[in-house]
Amino acid sequence: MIIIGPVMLALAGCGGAMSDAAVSTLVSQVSAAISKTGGSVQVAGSSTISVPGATASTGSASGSGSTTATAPTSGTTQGTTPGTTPVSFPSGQAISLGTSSADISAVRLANQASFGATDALVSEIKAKGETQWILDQFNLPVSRYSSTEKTQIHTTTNYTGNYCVELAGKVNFNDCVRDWYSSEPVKLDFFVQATTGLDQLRMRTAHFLSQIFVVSNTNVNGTDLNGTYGLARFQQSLRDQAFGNYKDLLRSVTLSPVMATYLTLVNNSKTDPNENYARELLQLFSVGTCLLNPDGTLVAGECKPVYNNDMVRQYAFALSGWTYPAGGVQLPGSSVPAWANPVNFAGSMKAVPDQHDQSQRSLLSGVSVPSGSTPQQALEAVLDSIMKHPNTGPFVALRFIRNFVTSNPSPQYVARVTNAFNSGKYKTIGSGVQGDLSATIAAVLLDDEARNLSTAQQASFGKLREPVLLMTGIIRALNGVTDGQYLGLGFYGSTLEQPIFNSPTVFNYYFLDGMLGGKSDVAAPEFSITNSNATAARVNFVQDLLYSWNTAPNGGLVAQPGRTGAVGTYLSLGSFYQAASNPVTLVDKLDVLLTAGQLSSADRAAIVSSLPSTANQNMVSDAQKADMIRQAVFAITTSPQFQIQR
Amino acid sequence: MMNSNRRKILKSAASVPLWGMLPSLADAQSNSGYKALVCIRLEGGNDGYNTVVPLDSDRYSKYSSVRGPLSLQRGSSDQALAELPGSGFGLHPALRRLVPAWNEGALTVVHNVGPLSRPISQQEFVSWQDSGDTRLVPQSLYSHSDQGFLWDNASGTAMQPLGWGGLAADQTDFNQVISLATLTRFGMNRQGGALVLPYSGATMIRVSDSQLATLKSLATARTPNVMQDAYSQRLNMALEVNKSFSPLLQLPLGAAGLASAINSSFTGMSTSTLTKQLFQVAKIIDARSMLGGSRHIFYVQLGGFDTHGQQVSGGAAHAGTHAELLAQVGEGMSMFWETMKKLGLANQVTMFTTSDFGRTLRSNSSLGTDHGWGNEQLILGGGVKGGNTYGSFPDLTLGGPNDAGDPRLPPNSNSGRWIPTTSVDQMAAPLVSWWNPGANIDAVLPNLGKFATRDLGFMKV
Repeated sequence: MIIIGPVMLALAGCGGAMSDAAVSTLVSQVSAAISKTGGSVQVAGSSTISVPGATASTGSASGSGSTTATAPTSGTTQGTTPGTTPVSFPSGQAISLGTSSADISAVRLANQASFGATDALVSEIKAKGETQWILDQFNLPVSRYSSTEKTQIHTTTNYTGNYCVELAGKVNFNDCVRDWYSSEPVKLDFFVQATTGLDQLRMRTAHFLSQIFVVSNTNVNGTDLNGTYGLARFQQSLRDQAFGNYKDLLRSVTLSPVMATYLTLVNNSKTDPNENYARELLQLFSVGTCLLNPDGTLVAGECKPVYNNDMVRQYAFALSGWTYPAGGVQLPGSSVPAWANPVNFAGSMKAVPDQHDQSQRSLLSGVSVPSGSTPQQALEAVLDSIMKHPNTGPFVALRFIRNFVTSNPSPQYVARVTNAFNSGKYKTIGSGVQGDLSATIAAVLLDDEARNLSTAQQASFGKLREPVLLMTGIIRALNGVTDGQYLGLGFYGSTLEQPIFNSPTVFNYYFLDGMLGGKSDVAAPEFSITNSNATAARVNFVQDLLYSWNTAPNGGLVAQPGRTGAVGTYLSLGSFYQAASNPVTLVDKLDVLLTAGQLSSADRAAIVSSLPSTANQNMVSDAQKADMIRQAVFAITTSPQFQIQR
Repeated sequence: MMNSNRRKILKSAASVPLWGMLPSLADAQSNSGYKALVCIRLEGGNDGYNTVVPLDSDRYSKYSSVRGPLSLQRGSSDQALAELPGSGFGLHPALRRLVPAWNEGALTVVHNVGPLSRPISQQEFVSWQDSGDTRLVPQSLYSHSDQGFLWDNASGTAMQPLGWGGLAADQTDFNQVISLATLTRFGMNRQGGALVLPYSGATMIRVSDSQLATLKSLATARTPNVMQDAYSQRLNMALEVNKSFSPLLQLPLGAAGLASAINSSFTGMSTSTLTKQLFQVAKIIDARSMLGGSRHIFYVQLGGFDTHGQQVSGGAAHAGTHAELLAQVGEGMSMFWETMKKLGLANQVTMFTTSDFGRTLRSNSSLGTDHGWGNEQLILGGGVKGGNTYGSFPDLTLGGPNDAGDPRLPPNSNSGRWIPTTSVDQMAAPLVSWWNPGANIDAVLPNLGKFATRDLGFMKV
């Protein structure tokens, strides 16, 4: 099996370009690998995209259709100097938001409950009121991933085992690998829908759930190649169930052939099961390792273990006896136990009673699997034991709050959300069944601690925007358009340390209970991936959107050459022209829209005085306004007040 | 605490290294008095009991009967275990290129080492394992995150937020661990965390001079909000790294500005992230006068060791996932070692491996292994007292005296997870003492006193 190394980042200044010769070598290595029959093929993702170079040469290797571009030059003085380049943006409808506390409040909810505040979303929230907006969000149609039906990689009969070899000559090979095996298509859908979709709260919740129920398309060798349709189906199931019930979600995840592959649950033996899924089900998906009070604090102030290794083994035995759903085709050279089905991600796992452990098993919470059980009975016992355990409520509540609102909630806030989870109700919202996610989410977002503007000013309130939300937040606020191309693995997703759908391990891109460290004993999960390189990437992202490296008139990241439907990523600042007639107004409005009013008056005054000014603001050209807007946006979006969501 | 200005990581803000002049820079540096430790983390739980395997008949047959299809073979072929002559052990064949270092007396193994709250016998373990008392038994055994933290903080509790690397660094003239990987707890001390440098070459901050001025004012701003303040500090560090380290980190293999020792030793390096990290460490060590300080600790990491399934490829235990990972470890360590020798730093730099935990001796039916505890670790450097291995290799009987299991339970309930007979503290102490002979060891490793032997003796004094 030929292993080709992880996706290469062609971002380095010196010698970082991927030459035509290098791409040709990669293509021939891939072809050689594919021509071996059977076994698995591991190929580096084809997305070795870099920022289009200042020399505007995007030379692709002949016929490859994917990537190469020259990297930007190194040095510290680069790009367009504000004020000297005649750039303007299409005019748009002027932004309507004001600077009142109602505006600020709506921006805050938008940042907590969506992929980022926009002028339109703020207006909608103000018009409807917060509760109604949330209720309406519960009822919107669900955005759908487009790759869920591409099952042919596992269902085509009579072939060598690699679908792209079958299609050789009909479809460009690299494109085929990208579209049928990699996470690329799912990533593209994710970012397009996150930035434009209406069911924001549902998608945001699913994004959070995908950081608990982690499946990564990156396998051990660092390659992104497990099957596009499986990943799409798994992510769709999180969206579909985002407002449902946590117990149902646990069932669905456990029976997902994608998760069962990732954590080696599928085809697990009844005599000698591996412990992988059982352990992470308990540690990462439900109860955690330490006993918790309903308010999320440790029982007796220290870590008292919830379970020992023996208990993990009980769960491993209880979860034996499942295989892939029927419909997959046995690939040449691969071996499958006689009782098992070949790989197939379409559907739920199929029970195989003969392969299921028949002993009585004692689980948590006094729940037992009786002897002689079926796989389904044992699974229900597993789920019951989890839902009956007092840890599950606070475990879920704390993580919800940390991802939506603030890293360090008060114990009382956590307890209130736990109560909503356990009772299944928040005021009148929810079914009354334990584990109701709509009640839980409502409790998280409508709690006074989330909504109260004074609380937001407390010293430890807030959370660092995770890279995905940072990118979508900036694009949305500034009327941006993206095809998602450069926001994932191999490009910004990697340099920002959150390559969507390619988490390095099942522990997510960052520990959900990560601490700030040093003198501060506060939780700050997103900080654990914010090293100096990732911080620099946060600056560069903004810089590239405002002052791009190519000759596109409006800045941004140019559409990938040769890819159908590519549009790149662009901001559109025209709706700020009217406000830019008065720099003070401009900065005040940007402050509300971007930071929910976190900038002090001194901060705002400093930004205003740094902007190019003229004697008569009404005589300023559009190009000059564009420069003024870009400069203000740069100063605000690189500031701690923007990076930290409060 | 020697360096009062924590964030001034360069000797002088005005000093700009001239990379074209590196060879003479290297000549001008003094080699004596400089020491570096390189922590190589094998993340996911390296299967130490296929990394170091006993070759004598009795123990080998016990090993192979339990390991089944995962058993490595003895013999003289390239696919067989690579003997460490005189030790009674062989390395996984993928690590064959480390055998010369053993023959040079620079490589050794520490057996059955892992986190311990205190020494513990099997009988005590059976009584205490469910107590939840971390003074007796380490917290959350078999959990990746918790055990990883215990390797970083040399204690029994994952709640302890400081790492022994950071604490050791705090006592010297350079008080940050330098990580080419993550913001590891290993580097955490009271001043903050590791200096994380990007192994792929620094992402340059691409801004104009006026924008740089804006960023600098943001980076020094202080607000009453803890999170905003922390972000400002990260921004400040990014600006520093960007300015000071980028040129060095960008230099590719073969660049004229790099010492020939580096270029020749790393020739043919693969795309392994571990080798790339060690390549950067070699460059930084060679250019150490830019950093200042006579004592450095580096942290590098390779992931993917959590081989619950498909650890080997069916029918060929010498191949497969684990073998591919160990090949990267062998490549990185040997190339780095060659470089240190050529730079005249062989006696100044020591590498050591760590990992979340070892894995079960008994394989599962997914052709993999599950989470264990005690593990085998490698130490490599001129300061090693070679020719022997250290610590005590476990009795490989399932449910036997070293098993973190229960001899009263049925056979299938004991998996061959070893209660460590050497603690993380005991492996760390000789390394820290060698690295900084004046170190206050008990401040770095407060639990060391619970163990009878403070110095295992694997480093030359």
